[in-house]
Amino acid sequence: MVSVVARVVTTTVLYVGILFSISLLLAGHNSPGGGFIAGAMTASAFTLLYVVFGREYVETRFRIRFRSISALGLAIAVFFLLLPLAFGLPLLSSLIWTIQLPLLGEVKLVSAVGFDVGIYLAVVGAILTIVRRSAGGESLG
Amino acid sequence: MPLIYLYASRLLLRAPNSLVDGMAVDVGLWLLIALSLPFLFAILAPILGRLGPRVPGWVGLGAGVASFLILLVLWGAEGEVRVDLPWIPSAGIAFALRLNPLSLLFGLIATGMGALIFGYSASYMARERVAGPFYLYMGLFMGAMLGLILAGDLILLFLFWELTTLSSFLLIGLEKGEKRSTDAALKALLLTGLGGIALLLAFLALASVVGSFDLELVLGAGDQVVASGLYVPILLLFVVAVLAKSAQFPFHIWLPDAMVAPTPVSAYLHSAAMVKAGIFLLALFLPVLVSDLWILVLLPLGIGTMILGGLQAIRATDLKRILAYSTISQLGLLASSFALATVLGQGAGLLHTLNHAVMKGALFLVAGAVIYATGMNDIRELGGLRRAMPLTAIACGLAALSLAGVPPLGGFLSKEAFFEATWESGLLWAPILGVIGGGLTFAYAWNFFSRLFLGPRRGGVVVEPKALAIPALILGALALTLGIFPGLVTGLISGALSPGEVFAPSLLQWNVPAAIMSLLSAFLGLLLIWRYADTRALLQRIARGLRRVTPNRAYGAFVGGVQGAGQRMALATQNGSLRRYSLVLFIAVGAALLLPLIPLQGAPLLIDTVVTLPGPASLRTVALAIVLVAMIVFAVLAAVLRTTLHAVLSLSGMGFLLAMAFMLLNAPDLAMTQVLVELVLLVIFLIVIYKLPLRAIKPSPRRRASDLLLALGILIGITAVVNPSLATFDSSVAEFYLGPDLVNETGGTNVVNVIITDFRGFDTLGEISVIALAALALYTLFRRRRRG
Repeated sequence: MVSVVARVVTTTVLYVGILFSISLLLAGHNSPGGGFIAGAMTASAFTLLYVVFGREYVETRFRIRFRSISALGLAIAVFFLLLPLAFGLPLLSSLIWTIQLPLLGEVKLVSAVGFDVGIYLAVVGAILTIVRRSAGGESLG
Repeated sequence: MPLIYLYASRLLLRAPNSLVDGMAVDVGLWLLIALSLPFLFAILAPILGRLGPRVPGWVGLGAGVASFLILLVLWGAEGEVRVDLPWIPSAGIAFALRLNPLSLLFGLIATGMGALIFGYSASYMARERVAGPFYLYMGLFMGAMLGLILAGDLILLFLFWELTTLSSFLLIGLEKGEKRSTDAALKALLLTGLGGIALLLAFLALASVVGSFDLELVLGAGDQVVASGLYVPILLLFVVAVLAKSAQFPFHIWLPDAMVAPTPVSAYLHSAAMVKAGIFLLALFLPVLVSDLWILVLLPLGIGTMILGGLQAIRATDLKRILAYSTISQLGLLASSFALATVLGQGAGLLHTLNHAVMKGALFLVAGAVIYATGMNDIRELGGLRRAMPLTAIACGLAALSLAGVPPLGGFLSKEAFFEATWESGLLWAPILGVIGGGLTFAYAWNFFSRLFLGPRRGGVVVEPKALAIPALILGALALTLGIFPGLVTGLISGALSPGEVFAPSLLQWNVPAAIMSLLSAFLGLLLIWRYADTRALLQRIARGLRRVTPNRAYGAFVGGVQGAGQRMALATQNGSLRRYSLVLFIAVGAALLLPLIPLQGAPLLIDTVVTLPGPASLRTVALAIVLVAMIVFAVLAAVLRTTLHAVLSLSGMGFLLAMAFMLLNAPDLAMTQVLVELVLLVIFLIVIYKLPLRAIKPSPRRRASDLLLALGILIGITAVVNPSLATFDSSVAEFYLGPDLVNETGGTNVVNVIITDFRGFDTLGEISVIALAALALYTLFRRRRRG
């Protein structure tokens, strides 16, 4: 049996890990981070959850089909790859919008971050599909 | 359809005034419409099938008739019509169509027969499971055939040629579950596909001699082609293409097997249309390729096939196989007519092409009606159907007599012209063999009719399917009409010959040698009919004796050999040993790393560069050195430890140390990724190990030695590849990425991430696709294993 300490730590780590990975994802364009790292971070948080709580516990709480997440990520990446075409620019050009938000001030939106979100989802989905499948999961994957 | 659109828009752009006047609908547009209708039908057929089982057949009939009429009216109103659309101008390839007497004659056969057979299919296919794909492929074939006939460009012609092969393959293999059906489809595809490759090579060689893919330029360059050094290969390749497509010896073996397809397919593709594509090519390229060699190669094969096919037709007992062998034999007659390369021979060939399409089409439709009504297909078990199926009997009688060459039917005229042409050739053996072939045809044609419809009644009680008898009757009547009024088509045929030549056979003009040959062949035919059963038994004995040397045997040996070799190869390479797989992979990697080093003679293998670490010797450098040494220790441990679990843990420790090294080298992105990846990898490893034996299998010393050797090779390779790149570090690359416009152009300041998502976005997309695919592959792999 896994110790109580491990359980408590894992639950905390899961949320902190996912939040941190999202911050890594969004900040990635300007400081260390990015889709790949954030994806690996989220995936390892979930992996930890599987290791500590076991498959059944996780699957009753998160009914997620990870391979669909992976496909969704690919679709998003392709969408942001093609998006510049709609503006008459070559594929994969960076589109940069600068908008004013209350409280936060000037915020720059870059289409590459959207592409990064695609990478993130593809990586999360793929790693967790592999982990689940090798652990012998039946229903999801 | 897009072509029509393109053409129409070009017309609008080019000649707006005339269109406003309501005057000009360019005639070329009509030719495109005629060509597009079958394709349009093919696309719509699956939808039409939902409206009712007979609807696609009727619509197909309409499409065929419309195409037929457009061609006919276009010829009557405009004469020769050309369409020239740029297609791949950089390669000199055009979308060119030509309507001239030759293409009109074949085009009318393709569309007219197609229309009739679609009408027939409406009833015949109504209760078939495979009706949906049937109409799709038939429409596709009809369009491809018409395109092949009308094409005015070698590449275009070749594409349509291949499309006919493909649709024929799909139609023969309609019954997907049946081995007989798929084997026959494969045989047809392999043999006619071989012809297709030969044709492409011949065309490319022709184009290289003439300097253009334009059919008219090629057709006008006969002297140049015959004089060129490439003439012999061109001719031989061309002959292979024709023989394969038109089912001539020794490539004929696919046609009898193709009879597993539904009867409308046999009637259309394998008697009237597709097998005539080779004959069409002979007629088309005769002016370019003709020489003594042409006659020498083609005539023996043609006449030989004619006799061989005739003998086989007598031997066969299955209704459709009889007709298939008869088709082979008649195609032999056609090939010989063009092989003679005289005006009379060509005229006879063209007229007989039309006659054969009509009478053989009719006979196939009759066979289909009989099979449909009785459910039997063995001619020995059927008989006396004249009262039960009177319309079918009349159609069969007319068609069979035409095939036998009896006046006043169409087949008589073309066969007479053929006999006359062989007599004119001056070769002694040609008319003799021609007469024998004619006699065989006479015998099996009459036997087919008399056995089915005359004599005592055999087979169960049947009701004549009228909807199937009527198309056959139309063709029977046409066979009679063509005999009495050959003038309907001889004008067109004369137009297809060399300018100024006239071909006008008639029942009223007798040519003495040809008449004597006709009588002789009829006499031989009657002799065979008298002892038909004995002849068949004799032929069967001979066939049994020769069964070891048939082309079928060669084909079977070839296919079996290829399959056996493939199996042996799979067994040798895919033996399921993970060790063998990884060994192959590592050897390949080692070779890929080491081989490029060989040409660099004189260059030092391991460049003696001291890689300087960033910064002065400091605490960080010392830490880095410690980390690297620790990594070496872990690596050695991973190799030495005998327990799998320990080995995995050491590997993992090495990975975490690597992350530390990245950290010390100012690469936080890399370090973070390395830690996370290592973590996930470790978990996966542990999960997998859970299912493996705890202790590693103890490898033999010899195996360990070879593994060590391999590892050393890879080590040397990697060092040799990495080291020079460190020695000649090009800082301009870094400057490019870190240029002053980085933020302005990409909106980011983290150069690692900007490279991943922006500069190398395509690479990244490829990488995540690979990751997702790997996950998917693993997913399926595990699911398979669990099920199986």
